[in-house]
Amino acid sequence: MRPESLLEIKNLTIGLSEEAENKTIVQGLSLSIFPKTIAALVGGSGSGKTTTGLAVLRLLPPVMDITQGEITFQGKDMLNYSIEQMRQLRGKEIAMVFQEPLYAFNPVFRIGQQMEEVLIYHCSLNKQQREQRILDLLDMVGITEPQRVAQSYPHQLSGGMRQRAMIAQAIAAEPQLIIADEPTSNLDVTLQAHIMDLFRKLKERLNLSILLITHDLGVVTHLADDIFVLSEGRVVESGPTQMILAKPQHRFTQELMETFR
Amino acid sequence: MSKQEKSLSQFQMALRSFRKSRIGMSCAMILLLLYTMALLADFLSPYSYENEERNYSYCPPTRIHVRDAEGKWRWPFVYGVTFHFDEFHRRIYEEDNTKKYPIRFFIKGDEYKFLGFWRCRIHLVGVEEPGRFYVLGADSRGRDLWSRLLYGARISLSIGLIGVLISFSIGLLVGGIAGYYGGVLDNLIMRICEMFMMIPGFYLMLALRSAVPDTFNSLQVYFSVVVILSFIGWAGLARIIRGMSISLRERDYVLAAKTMGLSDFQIIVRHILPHTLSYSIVAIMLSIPGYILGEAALSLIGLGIQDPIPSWGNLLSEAMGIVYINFAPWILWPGFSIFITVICFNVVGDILRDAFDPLLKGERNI
Amino acid sequence: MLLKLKGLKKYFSIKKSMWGTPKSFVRAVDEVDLTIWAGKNLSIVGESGSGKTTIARLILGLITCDSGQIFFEGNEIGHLSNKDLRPFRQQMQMVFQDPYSSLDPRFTIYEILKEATTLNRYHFQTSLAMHRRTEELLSAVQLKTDILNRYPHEFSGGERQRIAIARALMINPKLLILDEAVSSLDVLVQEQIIRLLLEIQKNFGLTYLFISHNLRVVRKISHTIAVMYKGKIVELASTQEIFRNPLHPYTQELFAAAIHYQPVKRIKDYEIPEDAVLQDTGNEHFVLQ
Repeated sequence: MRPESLLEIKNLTIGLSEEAENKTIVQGLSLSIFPKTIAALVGGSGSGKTTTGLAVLRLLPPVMDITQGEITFQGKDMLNYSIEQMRQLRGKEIAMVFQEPLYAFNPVFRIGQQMEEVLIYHCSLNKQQREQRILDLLDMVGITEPQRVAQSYPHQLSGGMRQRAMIAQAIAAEPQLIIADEPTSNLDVTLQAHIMDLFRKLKERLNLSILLITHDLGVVTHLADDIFVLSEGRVVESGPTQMILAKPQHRFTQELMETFR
Repeated sequence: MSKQEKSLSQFQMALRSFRKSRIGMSCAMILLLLYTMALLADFLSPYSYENEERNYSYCPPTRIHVRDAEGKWRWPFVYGVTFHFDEFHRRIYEEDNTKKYPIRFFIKGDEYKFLGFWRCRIHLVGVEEPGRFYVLGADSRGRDLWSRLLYGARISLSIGLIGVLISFSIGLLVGGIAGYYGGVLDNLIMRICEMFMMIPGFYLMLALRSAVPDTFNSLQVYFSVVVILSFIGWAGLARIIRGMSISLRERDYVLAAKTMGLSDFQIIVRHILPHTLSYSIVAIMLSIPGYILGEAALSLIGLGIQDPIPSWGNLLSEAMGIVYINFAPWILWPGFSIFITVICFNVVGDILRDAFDPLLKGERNI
Repeated sequence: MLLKLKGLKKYFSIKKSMWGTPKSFVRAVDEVDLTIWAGKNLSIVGESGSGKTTIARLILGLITCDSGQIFFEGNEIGHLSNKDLRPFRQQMQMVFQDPYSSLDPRFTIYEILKEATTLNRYHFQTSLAMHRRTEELLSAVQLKTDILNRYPHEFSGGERQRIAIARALMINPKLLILDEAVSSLDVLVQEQIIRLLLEIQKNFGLTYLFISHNLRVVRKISHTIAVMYKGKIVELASTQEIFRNPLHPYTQELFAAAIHYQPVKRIKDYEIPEDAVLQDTGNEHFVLQ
């Protein structure tokens, strides 16, 4: 008996409101993520996976519109949240990790300062407690010199460290769900393995769920509990990872499996 | 990608975006109109710029009437003008109802060379001698301000264009080369640029102008002024293009061109400089007013274009006394035309910058 | 033998003293020896910063080496001037990593392809010859010929890479260097491009130098693999051999991470003794010891 779902997307349709074309990027997409699960959203470029991730946090660019569907988080309808409610939600309940850590951080502020912003907004800790928490978080993500990293500017760190710092920032306010958009695509292969291991550990320690958006089936097989295969804005196949890998039914899934061999 | 649509280059996309802006298009149209009028100045003006009539000194703009003294409708005409002196020895003009001069189109007037080639005498509007038709009034020597304004447009508007083209050509090449090669050459060129930029522009302009021999005729003075203005302007652009060139030379397509055997000069001209165009075009639009004002400033203090050849600058020099402005306010018209031209160039430059902007960011697929 | 690198060195200085003399170096390429045989694709794998891209640039003459030699078909090309390099440039071309910046966005596809014939103007003087060649190549990369008047921004990443490949093939090079050419594409497209490259190799008879950090892809396209770490080649063997039996600790870590996604706890960076040389451990399997 599986517990209630954490995030539920039903029949989501997102369209592009351009003058000439009325394209739909996501068409009737449905998925559910359960607590303490890593769910992967897999597809090629243009399949709509990043768009879906952004839609959950209502971070879509103005040209895109959610025309249909429901997004429920912990049973509550998110599409009807006010802007203020969404702000409360972002970071505290649902956090996001992006593909390119260099652009996710503001280059003129130190890492520690930016992480502190999250804590100031969402938690009620005093200055000392905040500083300690930042060091704890950096330590949790496997950074060996948290003090030095907290004092550094984004460009002074290597790609792997930046990605870890971004993850640390994401878990700062103890969210229930992290949406990770291609978190390892820009990293070297050895770093990729480390970050994936980190995600696994965080899921266990912090009771997190992760919505992993990726095009790399290899990452998915070693990390995800559930898979949702996306093609042209629709979910064409879904289910527990092992089951899908053993017997892929849809043609697209089979093609993806081919590349992995 | 629909197959029917013709492929647009980035340039064309930017122009399309520009066309959508109404204010941008209006200002562009105004500029086009001004330049056309300057080109056709001989034809459009009733008189040549030298046509004097001392008896009509500071004559106010001639009124056009369509009804005569009895109230009858007539073909548009003007009255003759008489004057008397008041206590300050200024002329007060009055219309003389006894003399009527109908307005004629395509009238024969002062001779000129149309587009520099054909000798011609036809003007668009005018009145027959001895009537005088002053659209905007007369200056101290009775010369028609409107005609002089049109002729002045030739000087002022063209100096802007030619000056800017010269400085920008120099600036683009120098900046492109400095940025591409880097190292000692770059250092050297940048220090030279800084030396030029260090000297206050206006004083440099005066100094260079004083180096021009007195014996130069008007045309030579004109070209000297153009060269002087370009001398001041190229350094600023060179520096910015050099910065852009440094980042552009790292692009993969530049490396690809190198592997394909293109020479350095070819690479700079084909691959690097065109990518600075979106910045350059905007910078050109926004600098032209500077050149126009530069010429106006020189001519205003008598160092630019000399009388009798009109330029908006030296026309304005007549308006330097408050007495005259009060007495004959129409002599401020050249200032107003400079104002309109500068505003239009600035608006067009601004809108163009916005039009090029999204393309500057590159075209990643979403 | 197509290409041979001998004792190739390229150091970049990172700190300069007050007088401009460099104080410390990054050893991008540190005494590298490599041979590429015609028809046998070689892949260089390693992390970013290992020096693999620098090697590509050195081979093409985009940067000059500090010491060492580069032989192309027996001719020493490592220290030639740009002018002397021209006939050799015809024989080697490169496909770059980023499809979004390797094609000049202001040029049409036709102009891009035409520019590639600069070194061989003689054979493409008539536009008929040009057209025939562009048709031939566009169909080789499985693109339609009606794209010649379009601009790069109208194409997807995968299509742009195909155009880049077509461009590189315009003057029939013998060696094609692919520097992370598929790394920025998604997996399905990667697969397509690899298949395409193998097909092209059959039809055009060239050799690939494939540089990547993606072992899965490298396995499909190379005959020999060289593993680079900190500017040195730490292991060199045939694809089969190296996957079956990685010997150097760094190689093992790389493979564990890439294939099994196992993070290896590296206590500190692998030390490489100054006098280490590549030694044959049998089966033409070289390891740095």
